[in-house]
Amino acid sequence: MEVTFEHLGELLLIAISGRLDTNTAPQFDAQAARQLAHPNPRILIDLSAVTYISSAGLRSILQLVKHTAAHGGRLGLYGAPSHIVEVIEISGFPALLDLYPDRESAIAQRPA
Amino acid sequence: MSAAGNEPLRLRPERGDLVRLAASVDAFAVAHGLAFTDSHAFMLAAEELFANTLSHSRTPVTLIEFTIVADESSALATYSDDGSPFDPTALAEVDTTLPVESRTIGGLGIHFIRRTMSTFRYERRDGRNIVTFGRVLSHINRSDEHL
Repeated sequence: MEVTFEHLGELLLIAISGRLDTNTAPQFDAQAARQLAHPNPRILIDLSAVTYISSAGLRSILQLVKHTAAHGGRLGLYGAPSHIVEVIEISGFPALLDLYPDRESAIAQRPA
Repeated sequence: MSAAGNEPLRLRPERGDLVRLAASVDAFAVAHGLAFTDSHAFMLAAEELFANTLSHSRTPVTLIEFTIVADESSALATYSDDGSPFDPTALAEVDTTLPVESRTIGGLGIHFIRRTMSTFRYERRDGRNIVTFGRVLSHINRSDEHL
């Protein structure tokens, strides 16, 4: 699992690649925690290079969802492959966040 | 039904062995031409049970065993550990409609299994938790997309 963080104005862009599972989610959480030291009302996560996500990975994303909500914002995901979208949909997460097909639409769209 | 091997995969209750479990499911999927959607479902179910073993057993677990077999129409996996009695099929359904402030992740892994598997059974036998899960295969082989 690899993760990069990019600040674009008020946006925090997070790009994840590889597996986000029981083994790798703690690494992601540790890196994300440093970014969450400051309020980030809007976070976008690039899932286009994520090959697999389990409930451990969804727990990591839920923490970010709660962070944005606590600061009056909302989290968006974009580029997720269909099998990742299926897991997200089974979890009921689409009601908690925004799903976009790609980076351009995610950045252009105001949060719902 | 044919198995990937005669012997079950034996795992230690350590996070590092999740890699071996995932590799086993992936190798089985390739060997049996499982469609990506099927291999992904089995990968997810196996990991969630393994994660439960790591997180919830009240007594030390010394041995986890995993097998998966398939025939032309379905695949069936068996996951067992020697931890404290734990029946995942008896867990309450999670409420996936709760608002963000009320959402927790607990139970979501078992929710995945219920949603993706047509068979999901538990028994306690000889001091072991034995979970059997399986599904009818989709028969759409996209082997270039394996995990």
